[in-house]
Amino acid sequence: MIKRLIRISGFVGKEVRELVRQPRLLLSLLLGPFLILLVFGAGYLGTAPRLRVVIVVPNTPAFAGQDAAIRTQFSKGVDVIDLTRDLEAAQIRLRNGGIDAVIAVPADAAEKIGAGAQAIVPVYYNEIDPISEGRIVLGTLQYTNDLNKETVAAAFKQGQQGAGNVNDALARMDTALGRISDDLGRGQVQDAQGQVTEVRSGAGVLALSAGLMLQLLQTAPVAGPQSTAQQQNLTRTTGAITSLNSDVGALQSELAQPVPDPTRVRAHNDAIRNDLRALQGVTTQFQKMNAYVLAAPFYGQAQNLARDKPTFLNFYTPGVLALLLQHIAVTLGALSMVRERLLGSIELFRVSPITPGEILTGKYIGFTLFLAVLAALLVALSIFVLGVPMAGDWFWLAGSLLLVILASLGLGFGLSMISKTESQAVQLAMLTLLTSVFFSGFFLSLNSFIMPVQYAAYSLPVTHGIISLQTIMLRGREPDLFYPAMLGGLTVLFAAFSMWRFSREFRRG
Amino acid sequence: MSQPTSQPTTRSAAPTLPRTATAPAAPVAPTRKAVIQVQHVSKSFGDTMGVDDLNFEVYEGEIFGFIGPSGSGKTTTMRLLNGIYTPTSGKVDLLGCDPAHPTRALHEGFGYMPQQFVLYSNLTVYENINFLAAVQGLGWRERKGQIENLLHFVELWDARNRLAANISGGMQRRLELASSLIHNPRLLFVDEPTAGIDPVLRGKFWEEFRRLRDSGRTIFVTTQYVGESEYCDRVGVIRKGKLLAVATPLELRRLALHGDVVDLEAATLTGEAVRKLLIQPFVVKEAGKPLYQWRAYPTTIRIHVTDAGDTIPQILSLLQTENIEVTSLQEYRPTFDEVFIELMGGPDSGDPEA
Repeated sequence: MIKRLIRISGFVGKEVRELVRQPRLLLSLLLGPFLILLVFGAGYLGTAPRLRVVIVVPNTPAFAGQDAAIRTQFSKGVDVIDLTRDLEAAQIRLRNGGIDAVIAVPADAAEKIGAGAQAIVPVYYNEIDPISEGRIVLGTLQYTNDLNKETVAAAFKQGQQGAGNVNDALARMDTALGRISDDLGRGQVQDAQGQVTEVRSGAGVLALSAGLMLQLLQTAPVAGPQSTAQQQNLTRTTGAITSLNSDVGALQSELAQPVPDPTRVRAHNDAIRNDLRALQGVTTQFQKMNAYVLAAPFYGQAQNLARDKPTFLNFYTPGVLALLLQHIAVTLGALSMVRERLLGSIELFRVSPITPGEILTGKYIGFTLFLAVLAALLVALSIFVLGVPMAGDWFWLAGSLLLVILASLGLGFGLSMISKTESQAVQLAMLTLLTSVFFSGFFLSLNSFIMPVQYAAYSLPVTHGIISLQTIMLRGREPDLFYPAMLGGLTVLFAAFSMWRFSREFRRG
Repeated sequence: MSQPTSQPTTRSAAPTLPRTATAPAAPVAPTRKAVIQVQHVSKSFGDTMGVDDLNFEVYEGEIFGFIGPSGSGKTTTMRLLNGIYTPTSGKVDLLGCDPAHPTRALHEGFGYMPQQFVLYSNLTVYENINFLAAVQGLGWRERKGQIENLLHFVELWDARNRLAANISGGMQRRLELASSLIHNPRLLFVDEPTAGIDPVLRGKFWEEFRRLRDSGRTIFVTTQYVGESEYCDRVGVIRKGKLLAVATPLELRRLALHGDVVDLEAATLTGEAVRKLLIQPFVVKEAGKPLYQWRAYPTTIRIHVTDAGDTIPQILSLLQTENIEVTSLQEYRPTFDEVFIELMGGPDSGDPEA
């Protein structure tokens, strides 16, 4: 047993010394990733640039002299590079590059909308990058949404101006009610009856307008439960409209009597004035409302419950750490056994008391020690220099990093068992890196892939490493046990495969 | 033997070797224990025959040289002996074990110095040998003194802190030799230790092998330098996978030349006297014809005899009766290059380096 430990420790020392003897390798392994992260953090904007567009205005008399207005109307969220009336020239310019999109103002928008159909605003683009295409399509939707909002807000503004007529009606009614009281006081019943027609007319307009305003205001319930005051206000307004009609009818009936009772007329007048005061409140409320709020009454306000404000640097750093550790471990493992084979030392080991298990164990421990130190330095640089948060438990972080290293080394040793030359080993290590970049969830979500691809992605240590490190460092909680369990399982699987192949090679005569 | 001069000669047919015969056992053999026994061992690689029906033994405490041209099967034989290869047929016994199914004790019993440098260029001389000591399972205290002794032995102690990449090829070979001895093995396999190194260093290597032998170790060494045969106690000669002979260097020479060779020089050497001389029974004959060559006609003649020591007085006596004054009569010792060319069946049959 002691001799076994001596043999294993010999390999540990040999591997560590060989790595430490390569200062350039150490420098590139440590400073390389750090500099990449630093440049990424400092240089990545994280926001898509504004679309550069050319607007094509219909070459019709109706749009003559409208360039400034159209430029204003159609420039929401985009940079208008030019305004033209030549669609073909604009499209050629698009194909030649330099602009992102061409927006064609529809010539028949008014007719279409008037006929109850949507007016189509064609947006042309020329993209080969699907991500950029998605940005333009999304930008187009956002653009038309803004355009619609502007249009609806303009309509509301006109409606609010119309509310001034309601106030006029209220004033006319108030005056007529005063005159009714005066006429009755003077015994001029017929004059009073004449004034009641004005009141009825005003009440009709008022009831209609207030009803419309009420309908608009009543859209509020879809946003959630109303406040008690708002509910009472709406109830009072609804009651006021009903009451106004009823009170105006009662006043009209009383004045239609041969001898109207002044007391009852006064009572009806007072009731109508009360109704008018209530309705005047609704009208005032309507006029005070922001047209843009009425056009877009809802605004989604996102609130992040995550511990730290997400940044691209913070989000990608745990992934980069996992990816780099996997890549370095896979490369070291893959090259290590191939080099021993090419050097001829395997032949020497075969006539020595050492076993394949002891060789692999020694290499495992040696590389793990080296990579653990490297991981610790990279984590320290990320946290204390780049400012990446470490919200979780250090024990979990260390454990997860260790499992990523062990599983990745196993994968590397496995690749070395099927590689005949160093270039094959390097090629396989690079393919593993490329696979990891695409399928590990590093920058494309795992959920974006079909299930068989997702299952394949789970065979990569980095897939579990990224999720674990992000959960620990950024969310501040321990990862689901599935991920460390999978890393442990992969370690056992890869190590068993490597051991089987190496033992077979070792014994072969 | 090749014709050494351009003089017209009456050279007889060139001596031929019994190709399948094994040379007489070395004098040391009967008294010593065999550490390697090879019985009818063959090894093929697909359709290619590596070695064919090898039979020999290596005895404790001897330097056994295995000599043959490039590609003759020396390294294959060594790998069969130390267990890297498994024989296709036949049996190998190494230190009492089957090397194809080795035990740790067996591996601890022998050392191996491969043909190529297999140590680590990024490690120092000391770290390399220290690593191989660990591979052999030697504890730290145990190995410390051993490493120092061995590095002194191979004269690398002063270079112990230099990277293996930065030492000369000869130093690398010596480092390998020291590494193969780190566990103090009884038997050492050394595969072409002197290939590609200068003659001075080659001499030092053989000096070290002799010191090891004198300390009781057995050394199985392959080489393609024919001249190195004389440093060995016994030599096996292999060509195209077949073992041609196993013998001491002296016997190998006699085997190649069918006995001894004497050079006779006389100013008045007559045809009659030569005829009388060549029909003597001590003159080696092949197919009934005596083996001789004129070195300088008619004054100097080289004759193959059964034993030079016994024969020279008889020749002198015979020539005196013929009244011939002998200028010179002495045994000729051919170089091992000549011996091997003979063994290999002529200069075109092999390419051992001189």
